[in-house]
Amino acid sequence: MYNALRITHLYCGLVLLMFVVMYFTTGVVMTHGEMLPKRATTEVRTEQAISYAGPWSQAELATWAKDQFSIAGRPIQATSKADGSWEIRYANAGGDTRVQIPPSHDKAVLITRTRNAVDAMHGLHRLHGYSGGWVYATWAAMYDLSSVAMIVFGITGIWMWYVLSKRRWPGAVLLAGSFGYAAAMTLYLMYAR
Amino acid sequence: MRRVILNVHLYLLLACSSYLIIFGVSSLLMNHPVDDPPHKAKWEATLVRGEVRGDAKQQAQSVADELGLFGWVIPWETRREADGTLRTSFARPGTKYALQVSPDGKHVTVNEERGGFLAVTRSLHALMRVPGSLWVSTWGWYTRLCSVAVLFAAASGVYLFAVRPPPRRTGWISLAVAGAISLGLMAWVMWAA
Repeated sequence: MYNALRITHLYCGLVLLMFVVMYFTTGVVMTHGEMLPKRATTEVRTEQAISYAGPWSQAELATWAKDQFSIAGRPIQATSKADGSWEIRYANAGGDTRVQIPPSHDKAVLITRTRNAVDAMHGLHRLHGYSGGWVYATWAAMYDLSSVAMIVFGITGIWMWYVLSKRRWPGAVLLAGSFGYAAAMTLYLMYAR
Repeated sequence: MRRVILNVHLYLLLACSSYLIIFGVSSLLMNHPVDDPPHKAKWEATLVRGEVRGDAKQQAQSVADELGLFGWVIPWETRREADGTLRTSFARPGTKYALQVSPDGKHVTVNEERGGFLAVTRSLHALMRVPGSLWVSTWGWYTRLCSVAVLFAAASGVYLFAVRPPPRRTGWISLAVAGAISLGLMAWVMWAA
């Protein structure tokens, strides 16, 4: 049993090391980012003539525009206005792109914003959801595995300590303190005014 | 050396074990939102101070302080009506309050939406400082400790694996392959996907 726990703890760590380190590093940047220097987000605007013969629906237009203009990012919003104009937004961790098609439907204006390093780290950390194609689905799966790994590390680590330790009271004190504190905080936030 | 690093790895992470589990559960909740309707309640109170200030946000904070609430005034939901009634929202981890203060500043009606265990767990994810509560703000220090602890655990875990007696080939291969895939995926979602 101990060996199974150790191998689980070890291989969870080795396989998910990069993702766990990425999430905690970007997390620290998010909570203490005001101390870091930040360059301004860069914005590039281009205009291109278009000839679109497909159906004017959100999904079709978003797919066509992404392929047509080789846009990085997954579609997050496609809206049409009463005057017949369209705006489609794409985003990835490093920035976002808006495609604006006027009522004449004969051109597209592309506005691409590239985030600075600090904001890009925010983008990496906050990338959620399985939509957007296989790359984003893989990312979401790795996200879920990293989350589960945190729980697995905690449980297997405690179990291994319990099996291995001859003198358990220091660990027991730390464990009681950790769970007691978390329980007290949770209950306080649930019931305090 | 190995013994020292093993003991620091073990006891530091035992002290952070509850937060690891909270990190894991809260992260999963962010990627897989669960419908957890809040518990609603309505109550009223008489304000002893009965202040009426020109600045709506300042008065909102003053009312929240008198009611013993901790958290943040939501500025975009704070306004003074034409008849002088002050409407504001006040939020803290797990709970949101909609306050309606009478024009004379002496009476307040509070509509409370209180989240359950899942909502509070989610809100504890990297929670830092909370205005008006020193106790809840201690969670910010625990967040810092656990973030550093996990990054140390990643490095020390690889070290502890590296100094184990052979065979270690499968572990190194797992680390290299998973690491390369992880870094590639990060680069892809940052710039290309």
